[in-house]
Amino acid sequence: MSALEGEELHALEPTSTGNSDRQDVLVTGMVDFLGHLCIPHRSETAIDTNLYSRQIGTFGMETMGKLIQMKVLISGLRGLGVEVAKNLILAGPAMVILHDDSIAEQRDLGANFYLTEQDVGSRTRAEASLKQLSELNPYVSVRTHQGPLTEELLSGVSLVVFSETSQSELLRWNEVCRTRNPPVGFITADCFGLASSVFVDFGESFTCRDKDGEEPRSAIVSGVTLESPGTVHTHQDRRHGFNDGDWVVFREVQGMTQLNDGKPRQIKVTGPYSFSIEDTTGYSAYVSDGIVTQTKVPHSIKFSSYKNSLVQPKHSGEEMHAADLSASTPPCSSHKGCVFSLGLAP
Amino acid sequence: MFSEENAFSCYANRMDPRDERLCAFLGGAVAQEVIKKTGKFTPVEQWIHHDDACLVQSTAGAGDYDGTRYAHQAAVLGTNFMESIKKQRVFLVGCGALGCEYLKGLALMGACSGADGKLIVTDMDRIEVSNLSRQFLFRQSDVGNPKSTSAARVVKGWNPDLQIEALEKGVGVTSEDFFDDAFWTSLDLCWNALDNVVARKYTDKCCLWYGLPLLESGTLGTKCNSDVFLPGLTKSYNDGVETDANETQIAMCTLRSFPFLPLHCIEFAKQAYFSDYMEFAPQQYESFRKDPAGFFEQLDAMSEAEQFKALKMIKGIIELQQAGAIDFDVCIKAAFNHYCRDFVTSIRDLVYNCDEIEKTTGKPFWTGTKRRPIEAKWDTSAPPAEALEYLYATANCYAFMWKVPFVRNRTEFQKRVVQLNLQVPAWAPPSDKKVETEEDDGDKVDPAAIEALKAGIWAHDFEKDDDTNFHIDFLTASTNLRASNYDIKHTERSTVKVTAGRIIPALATTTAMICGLVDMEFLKIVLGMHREEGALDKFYNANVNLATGLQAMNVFRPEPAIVRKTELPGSVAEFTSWDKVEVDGEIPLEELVKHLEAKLGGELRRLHPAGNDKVALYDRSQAEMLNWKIEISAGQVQVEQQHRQE
Repeated sequence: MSALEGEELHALEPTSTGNSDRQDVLVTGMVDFLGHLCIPHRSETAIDTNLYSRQIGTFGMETMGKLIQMKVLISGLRGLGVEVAKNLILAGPAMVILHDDSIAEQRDLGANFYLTEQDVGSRTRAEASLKQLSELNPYVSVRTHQGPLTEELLSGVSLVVFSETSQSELLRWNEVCRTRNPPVGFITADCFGLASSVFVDFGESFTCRDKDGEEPRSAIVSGVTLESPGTVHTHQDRRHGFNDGDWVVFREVQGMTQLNDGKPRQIKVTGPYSFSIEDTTGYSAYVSDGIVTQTKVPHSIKFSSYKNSLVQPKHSGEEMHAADLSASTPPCSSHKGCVFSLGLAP
Repeated sequence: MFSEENAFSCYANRMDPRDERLCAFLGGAVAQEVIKKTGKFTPVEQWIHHDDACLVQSTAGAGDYDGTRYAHQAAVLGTNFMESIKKQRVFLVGCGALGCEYLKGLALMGACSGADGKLIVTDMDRIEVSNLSRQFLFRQSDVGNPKSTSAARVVKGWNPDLQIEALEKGVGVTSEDFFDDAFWTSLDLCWNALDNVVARKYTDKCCLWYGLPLLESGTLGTKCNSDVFLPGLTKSYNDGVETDANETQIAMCTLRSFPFLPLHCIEFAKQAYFSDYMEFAPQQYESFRKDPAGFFEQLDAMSEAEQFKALKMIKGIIELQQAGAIDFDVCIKAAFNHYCRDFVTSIRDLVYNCDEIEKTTGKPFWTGTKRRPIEAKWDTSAPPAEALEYLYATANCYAFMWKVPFVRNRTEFQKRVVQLNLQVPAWAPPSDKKVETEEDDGDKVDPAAIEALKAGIWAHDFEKDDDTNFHIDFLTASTNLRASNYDIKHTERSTVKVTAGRIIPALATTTAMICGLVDMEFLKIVLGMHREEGALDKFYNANVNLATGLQAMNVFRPEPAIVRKTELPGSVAEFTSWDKVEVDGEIPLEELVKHLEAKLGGELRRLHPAGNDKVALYDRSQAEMLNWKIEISAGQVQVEQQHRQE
């Protein structure tokens, strides 16, 4: 990928297929002129599109709407915990709860940049980080929790991030998170010198609505064959840019109107200007026109529990994916090493 | 290659210390995973493992640093390393999202914190509200202040030993008197935290010239990349970069007459409507009003189409003023004129002309990418919502131009529109005059009318981040009216803002992540790994997309420098863009030529200044001309070329 420049145009088409909630507060043309709501940042519950404009460009308003409702618990506030907290608070969840009752040590100053000399030996890491973290984003409520974690604390919490936590505690809390209804997201992360691990578990059946965040592309249809599977040809002034396995919807097709049913179809790419769909032999012949657009079809992901994942890293039991292609350590040994050291932690 | 055994020891023995760079890297990745709980993007398939075992030093233990803030770092990297990092002299170019993260890292690492160390950070920008979602060193109260000084103040507060100097200078050819030889030669490395290619090319050029390592990175939404450029070893940035080609160049006729994507509507709204009505027209008018003679001079330099446009716009503004004093009602009328022209009349004209073509040729015209538009509707007593949105934004934009008070109250606005009893002009087929051929010369404008133009008009300056200026509202309304004409999907306001405003999507998570990785490469440079055997295998360039699980994390070795053959007889058979011949002190040209010929072998034909091959400092053929004999005999000039005597 070449260097990214300040002048690059971000080509966009609306992500919404029209069905999901429109969180955008300024709606044009669809709502009565007088019913139009005021400029967002003046309203308390709406999204500050000025502050978040750069992030809305990636997430979209719908995701922002969900993000501003999230409550996240972060347990462990050394370097990793404070970094996660900082990045998350900047993004704007509803609430972040900090948990770390260890008293700050001198060497913590090397990684948690919000701790100061004054905190060493006197305040807990959570208390010491609180003020600065809450100043990062006035829209986020940041507080601490003293004492051990309790199940009641998880009420309304969307996700927990653990670092500096013992294996036994992790196993316990993973079970708790998985069995809540809805499941609480569970992430644990640790650094051991120059090696690190992260584990993510969103429960038995998690819905991913948008697998890559790319803007849906459209193409103009120029022909559809009558065969099995049918081949769709697109206008040659622009590559369709679709990928194998993409879901698409058709509209305004003349002739082969069976395609205009609005139902997503999975495709197989056969060339830069063509792809195949279902068996079209029974359809009426294609005449002209038609627009085909990528659509995001939610899919369900099954996460394995922490306990099971320690033994069998990927749910399907396959080889683990390497985090980096030129890894100095093969991933399996990293995994074993991680398991080994987690086991040793008190 | 690191063995499994070493990997275990890495985990087992180093269990306690934490490496801050990895914390930064993971902190970004994990925060993004948290956000994925909303269902956006693909979560990692449960495990991420990342390590960089080549950094482990055999010199174990924190030594004197035990119990200090550097205890962890020294335990992992050794005390010699600590001495090296304190002495570093680093130039950080840019203090935005990347710059803030890098400053944090440098402060935590204790870099540049010794007596000989120095960290120079420079950035010309001031802090804006939209920066605050990533540039975490800044607060609301810092808005308006320079980025570099604000950031420096914060990190020095964290680590008072940091020898930091904050500048507000740009880095480029215009600041070379400041960033001179003495400056560059005092550095150990250059660290990019930039957002544009021009500056990147420049710093790379300097690093090539002065033989400095360069750390480079960039982000775009969830995607990011990092590169390490090492003297004598790797390709340089200038070797690899492509020119600023815009892949999504859209054909003019598509924008003007045959859009089929929402993007086309947005681009046309910005390039035509906003640009013409809100920027170009008032600018031309003011230029005309203040200095008619000068205006016409400058007009001649424009293309015919531009000239015509300028004159038409000025005439339009004059006509509006001739009815009387400018008030908000006049603004509404101006807005309505645009509404009729752009979304009613011109659409009907287009359809008529193209339908005629279809009739004449017998071939279907409205096919493929050409969508047959329908004109916008209007109802004098009950105007459609979409039209009102447009009028609301446009009239208020005109109010700005004439310094008339805005009317923000929607109820009042609607009432005024209805009261004005606006009618769409009757349409007639364009027939012979496909293009208006009114002779809009300045001569035809009544000089008396020009005299009466005391009222000035203010041009707009497009500002996407000000929600009160109606700019984005205007763009959204016109985009969607056009989309309605062509039955194209409408665009949400926030999307219009990002596209028309050319906003680069940016996230704190991506930034934090890539900066953590680059910090690790910095450690390697401090350790001197770039001067060791097999250096290229120990450094990583990265290319990551946080949106797609870990499938798209690519870490790879930097590309080696491009080696070219000199084909010279001397001792220098090959060279890379890093190689140079150094000369101490001043040297006359003739001696330089001899020096180079001795060093490189062969004959020196031409010598150019760096980066300019049009001008020759030395040209052998011209030097030889000094020896040519010139005679005039029988009325003819004769030249006898002679080669230079050796």
